Amino acid sequence: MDRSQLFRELVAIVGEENAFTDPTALMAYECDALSIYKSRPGIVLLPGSAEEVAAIVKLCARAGAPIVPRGAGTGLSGGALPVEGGVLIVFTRMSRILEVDLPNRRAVVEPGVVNLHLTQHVSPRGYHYAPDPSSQMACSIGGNAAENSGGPHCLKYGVTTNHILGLEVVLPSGEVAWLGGRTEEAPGYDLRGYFIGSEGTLGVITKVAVRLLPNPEEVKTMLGIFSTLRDACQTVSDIIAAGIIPAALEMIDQPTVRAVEKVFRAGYPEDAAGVLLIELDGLPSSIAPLEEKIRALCAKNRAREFRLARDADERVRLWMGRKKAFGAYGAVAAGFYCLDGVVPRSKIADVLEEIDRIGGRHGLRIANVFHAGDGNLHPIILFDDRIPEETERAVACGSEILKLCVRVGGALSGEHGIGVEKLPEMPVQFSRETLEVMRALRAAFDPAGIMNPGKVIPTPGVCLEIGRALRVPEGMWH
Amino acid sequence: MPGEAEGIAERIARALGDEDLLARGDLGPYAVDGRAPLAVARPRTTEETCRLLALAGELGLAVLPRGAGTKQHLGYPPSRPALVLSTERLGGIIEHLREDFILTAGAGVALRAANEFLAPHGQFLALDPPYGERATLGGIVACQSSGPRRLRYGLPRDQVLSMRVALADGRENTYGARVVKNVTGYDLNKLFCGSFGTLGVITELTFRLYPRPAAEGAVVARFGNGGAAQEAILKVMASPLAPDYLELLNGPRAEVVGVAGGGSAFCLAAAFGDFAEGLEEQLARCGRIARECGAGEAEVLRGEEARDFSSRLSGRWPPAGGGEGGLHLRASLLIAQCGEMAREAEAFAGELGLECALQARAGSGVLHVEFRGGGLDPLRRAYGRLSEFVASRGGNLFVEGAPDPLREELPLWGEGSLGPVQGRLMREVKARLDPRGILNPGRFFGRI
Repeated sequence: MDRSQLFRELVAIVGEENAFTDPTALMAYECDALSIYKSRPGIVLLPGSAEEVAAIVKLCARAGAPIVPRGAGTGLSGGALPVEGGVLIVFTRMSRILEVDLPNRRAVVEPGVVNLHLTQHVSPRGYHYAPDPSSQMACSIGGNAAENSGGPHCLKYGVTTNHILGLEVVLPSGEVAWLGGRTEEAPGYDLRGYFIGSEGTLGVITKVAVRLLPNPEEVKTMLGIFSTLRDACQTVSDIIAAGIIPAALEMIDQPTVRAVEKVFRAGYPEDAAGVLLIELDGLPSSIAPLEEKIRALCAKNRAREFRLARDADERVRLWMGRKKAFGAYGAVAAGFYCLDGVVPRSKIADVLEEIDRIGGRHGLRIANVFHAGDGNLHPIILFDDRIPEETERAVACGSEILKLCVRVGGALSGEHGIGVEKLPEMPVQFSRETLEVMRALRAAFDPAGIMNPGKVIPTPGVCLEIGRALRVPEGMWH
Repeated sequence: MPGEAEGIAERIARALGDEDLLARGDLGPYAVDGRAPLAVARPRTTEETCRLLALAGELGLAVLPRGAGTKQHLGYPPSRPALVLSTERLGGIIEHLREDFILTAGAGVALRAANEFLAPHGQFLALDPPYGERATLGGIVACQSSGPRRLRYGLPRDQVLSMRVALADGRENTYGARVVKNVTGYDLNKLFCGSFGTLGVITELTFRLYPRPAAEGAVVARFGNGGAAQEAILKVMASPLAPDYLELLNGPRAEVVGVAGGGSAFCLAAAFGDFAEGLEEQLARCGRIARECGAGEAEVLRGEEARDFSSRLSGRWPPAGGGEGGLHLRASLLIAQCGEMAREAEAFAGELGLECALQARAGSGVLHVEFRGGGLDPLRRAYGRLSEFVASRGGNLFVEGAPDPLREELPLWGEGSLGPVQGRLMREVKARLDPRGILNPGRFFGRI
């Protein structure tokens, strides 16, 4: 089957108004939130149902055509980077909340449902969906499942894989199956757990059964303002060591605060070296003693100031400052590259200093905003992405930082995934034997290698350079 | 042939250069399905475990991994004679990152020993499976064992951060890392949790730890009927309270655990761990909910008393031997279905002339039911009735203990609800990790 026939048949599945092949439309999909790498698909499809998705996959399987699934395109590792000339399936139209069952604390949604919309839907009845990535105003539940997304409240409540009961998936063969489902315990191997975080390489998600939680009775948000990052980091350690697990524990450094205040005026102090955003939730009598302890620990670590948000508006403003930090960097640099590594919490202060040195060696400024409670760092390299040489320097700098994370006992990715971005560093994290097993299991799901090729683990014959499209070898297309 | 297997085991020990590899003397304690094994190998290191598996595979010997043997009664009998691979020498605390609340230990370390090590640091491994005083970390994770506190702290899959495994062909793999948040590559930790030793032998594990709560307490309430208890369950689960566990027990089970029943049909027990002020409020509000739903005056336990009660709850049930003639089932349903299933189970136990003991992880929708006191036929019918009920509610039913003839007849691992596509995928996974099928052959779902 040649490409034009394949595309004709694909258009017939979703309808002409839901398929794009003209270059202007395709350009909108040539990258996700990792804009360093761009690659133009051959066709973009917006299916409206699981049946259409299954038909698309079956057809592509017959044609040997590579498929890349895309939620909202907010991914930061290039997980939704299209294969040049390949098929991109986008879930914008599959955005219905299908079932809400509050007594059993569960809901079933289509993959395109926006994360925050789900919480907003059940919030009037006193429930929420816990995993809250910073992009939650835009990102999709399906994308969250594919990446095993995190977010600030994962410190206390766990990450996406702890909040998904089941997935309906279309396998690369075109077969449809539920992995997990209604209840907590399913027979056999935990394929649901294995699929979550597999970044679209094992199949396409068409429904997600999620856990919901009752809302906490009270929420307290506070700021600790410090003159050194090390004091802020020590406070984090002391809080955890005191047996307190806050709902969130986020760190923002000075360059980030300056960018945030320029754009959003969230109320952060611009001359502090480090700002700790701490949130507690629970019963008022459970929280009150914790607030006191935290206040004391901030003071012990020479906090210049300690603030408690006075009302819901102030809380929202403080969180907006944190969650929109990435967006604020545009005010201080032409481009930025957001990294994602995770290190043992006790090593954060040392690692931040080393990151600073690495930045210096590459002649680049680095800002930091991160989940201090679980050691998930987000060093943001500021550079001018209109200058190719600077982009290359940023990527090289990023690679060094990722290797540093592994060296100190951490991992390459805390929540953004591997995508294309961290492929070269995978052999630093895993032995050859472990990568072989991962490759073999991937082949068990996808023998023809059509699902999101070139992502997660290095594939022979598929590679990517800055400024070049993601291509797969000729033989993959019949 | 016994003699042949012994010869092979001796050859392996010589090839590995480990004189102490094989257990000597009475191998009865290592029995699987009432049969003493042909030989028992006890490797000391991951590397030795890898070489042992590679050799066993080449020589055509099947292998049954074993921790403390507290769950050896689960599953179908092994499909062929095998060597037991015991993790008893894969011990030791390997690394305790105290500030980071992370522990790495050998698979053969007992949960009790790990928590004794952690106690002076005010930390603990939040797992409370049956036989926790003997069960090993590797076994608990391989069998996804859990207890009442899974409600607050989750299952082993939610607490394992990293593991080192020896694969059937002798390769070594390491998954995850010693950090609490990690999405690097594929999540093989999840695949191995609950894989019952059929995908590889776990030799080392890394867990996240939790702070010991400052104060602990429990509320025990008695209800006249299952409907009232169910109402209380739903109210607690819809409230902002954060119980460690929420257990529903029927009369016979409550008596065994030591709750003074006195004619009450069902008992609800909830435990909380918090700082002192928060604990008192949670205990009070939980008691109030129970009373609003018609319970009598709730008993409130604190500190040592509460801890004792909690360990009696998770203690030794289901029995490690499989139950001496009883039928022990585990059902996975929804929270709102627990009370109904409890009533059904008691009702047809009555009809069939059987005794029925029942304890549910009410907040997780998981029920344990034990029928006894009848011959094979009443037990068979009890299974049939419960199986129909669970299937009609979209749940899953597993058999944890049964008299031998029933173990041959019944789908022990809930295979009834396993679709053909899922089954095929699982067999593909098994085929790639254990192509010769030497690990626990025939024992897991579908006799894989």
